[in-house]
Amino acid sequence: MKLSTSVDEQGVTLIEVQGEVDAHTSGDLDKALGELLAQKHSRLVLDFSQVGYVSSAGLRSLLRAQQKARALGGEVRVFGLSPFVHQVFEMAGFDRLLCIAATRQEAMANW
Amino acid sequence: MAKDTSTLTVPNDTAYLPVISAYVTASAAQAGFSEDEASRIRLAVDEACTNVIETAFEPGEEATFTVACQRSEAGLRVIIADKGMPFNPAAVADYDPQAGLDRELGGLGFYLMKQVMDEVRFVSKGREGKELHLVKYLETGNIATLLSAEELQPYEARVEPAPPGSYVFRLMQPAEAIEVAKCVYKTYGYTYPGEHVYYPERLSELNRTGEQISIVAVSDKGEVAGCCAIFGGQPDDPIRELGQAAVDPAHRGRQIISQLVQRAVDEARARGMAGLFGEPVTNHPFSQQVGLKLGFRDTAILLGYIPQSVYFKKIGAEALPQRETLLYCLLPLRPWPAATVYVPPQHRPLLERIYAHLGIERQTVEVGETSKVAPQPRPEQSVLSTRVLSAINVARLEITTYGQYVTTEVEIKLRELCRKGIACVHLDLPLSDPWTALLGAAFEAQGFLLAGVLPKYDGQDVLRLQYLNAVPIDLDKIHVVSEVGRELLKYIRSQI
Repeated sequence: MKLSTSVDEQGVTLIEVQGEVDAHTSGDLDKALGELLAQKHSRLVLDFSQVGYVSSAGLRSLLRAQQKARALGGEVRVFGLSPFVHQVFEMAGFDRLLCIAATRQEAMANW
Repeated sequence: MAKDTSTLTVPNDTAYLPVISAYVTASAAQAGFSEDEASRIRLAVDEACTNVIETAFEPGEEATFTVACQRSEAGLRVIIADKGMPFNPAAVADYDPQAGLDRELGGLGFYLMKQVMDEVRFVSKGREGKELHLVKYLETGNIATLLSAEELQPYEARVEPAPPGSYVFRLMQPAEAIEVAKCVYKTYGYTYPGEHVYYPERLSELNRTGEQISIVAVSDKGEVAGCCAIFGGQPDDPIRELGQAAVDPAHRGRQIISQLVQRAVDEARARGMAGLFGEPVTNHPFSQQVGLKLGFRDTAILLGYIPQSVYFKKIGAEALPQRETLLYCLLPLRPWPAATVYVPPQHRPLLERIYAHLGIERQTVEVGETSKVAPQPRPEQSVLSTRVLSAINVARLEITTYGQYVTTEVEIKLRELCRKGIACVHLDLPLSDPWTALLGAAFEAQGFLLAGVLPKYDGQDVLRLQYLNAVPIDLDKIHVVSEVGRELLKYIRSQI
C-alpha cells in the first residue's frame, strides 16, 4: 500500500491510498492519519479510487481517525470506492459513520 | 476427493495475508464462483487468518498455520487450522452495524465472515488445536432450476394411490438427493426454513460431512416416496434436530412418516447421539402424534414462532390463521448425566413435571435467603448475545453471565428489537446459574412469558422465556396432543 498526502489552500488534506488495506498495511494508514490529526489537520479526504480491497483492519483505522477528526471539529471523507469496497462499508455499517462522496470535487468542497 | 483439496502452510505473520488471499481467490474461481463472490470469500478468509495471527500465539512466537480449500460440486469449504491458543467463539462480541461513532469494533471480523459465508463453524481438536470452517455454496443447482415447473407442481391431495408394495427405509444415496429436494419442494413449496434442502448438491455434500443425515423411503419400484432428516448444529453435537419430513401423497396412509422417523431415531442411536429434538407445528396434530408414539416429550411451546406467510401445503389449512406456534419436543436416546438446575420458584412444579416425564435426572434447588445456596456476586458486565433470525423475524437473546445491570440491559435490547419490528423475542437463561432462580421474575415483569425448558445433555439446560411484540395469538387455535404439552399451554395461558 502506498500513501501520498497533500494539503490544499483551504486546509483540506487529501490522502491518496493505493493498494490493499488489510491487517498488514493498515498500520501505515493508521500512522499517517494519526500524525495528521496530531498536527490538527482534521479535514481529511481519502482517495480510495486505487484501493481494491479493505478488511476490518482498514475499517478500524478509519473509525479511529473519524473519532479524532470529529473531536477536532472536522471529519473524514472518502471517495472513489470500488463496488467491492463499497459492499464492505455497507455490510459493516460504515456508510453511516463516514461521509462517502461520489467524486473528488464533492469530497473536497463544502466544509 | 483428494484431487479437490489443496493446503497452504503459512507463517503467523500478516505479511503473508496477500499470499493467502491470492490462493483463496484462485481456489474460489476454480470452484466456479464469480469474481465478486471470490472477493467476498477472500474477505472472510482474510478476517479468519488475521484473527489466528493476532490472537492464537504469544507475542513474538514463530509458528505456522494452514489454510485448506476443499472444492465440491456444492461449493467451497475453507478450513483454517492452527495449534495455537484455544479460542472461545461464545466470547466473541456481538457487532452492531447500526451503532454510532462510539461503537465497539469487537466482533467485526466475525460479523463480516457470517455476512459473506453460508456457514462459519468452529471445530475444537483438543490438543491438536482448532479449525475454523468457512463454507460458501454455489447459487447454481437449485432444484427450481434443475427441474421443469411441471415436475415441481405441488403435490395434489387427491392423487391416484401408488400400487401397494413394500418400502425400504435407509440413508439417502447421493444420486437420490435430487428426489429428496423435489419431495420437500412439492410438499412445502419454497417455505421450509433452511434453504440447503432445495439444492441437491448441497444435500449430498452435507450428508457426506455428516452435517445432515437424510433418510429416505424407497418403494419397491425404486421411487423416493418420502424423506426426513437429522440436521442443524454440528455433526458431533449430542442433540440434533429431526425434521424435513415429507411424503409423496400417492404413498400416504401407509405409515411412511412414522417409519422414516423411527429409522432416523435408530440411526441417531447407532451413531451414539444423546438425543433428538423436533419442532412440530400446532395447526394440526399429525406430526406431534408421530413424535409422541416414538417417545418425544414436549418441553416448551414457542408461541407465534413462524410467520403466517409460511404455510405447509396440503396438511393443514390453506393458509395459517396466525403466526404459527411450534412445540419443542425432545427424545433422550440414552441415560443423561444428572444435573442441578436453579428454577424460579413459580415455575418449579411445572418444570419438575416436564423433567420427570422426560426421564432425565434434574435436581431443582431453591435459592435465596432461606436456602443454603447463595449465588456468586455478579460482575459489572453481563455476557449477553443477540441473534436475529431474519427469515422468520424472531430474535434470540442468550445470557451466559448475569451482570449487575442485566435487567436494564435486557430491557434496552428488547425495546431496540421491538422498534425494529421483530415479532417474537426469546430470552434464554442458564438454569445452571443460581441467578436464574432469582431473576426470572424480573424478566417476566418486563412482559416475558415462560416458553419452557430446553434440556442439554451436559446439564447446561436453558430456561426459555418469550416476548410477543404485539403479535395476536389465539391460544384456542393451538392444537397440543400430549398431556404435559396441554398443561404447559394452560400454564402459559394463566400468565397472559
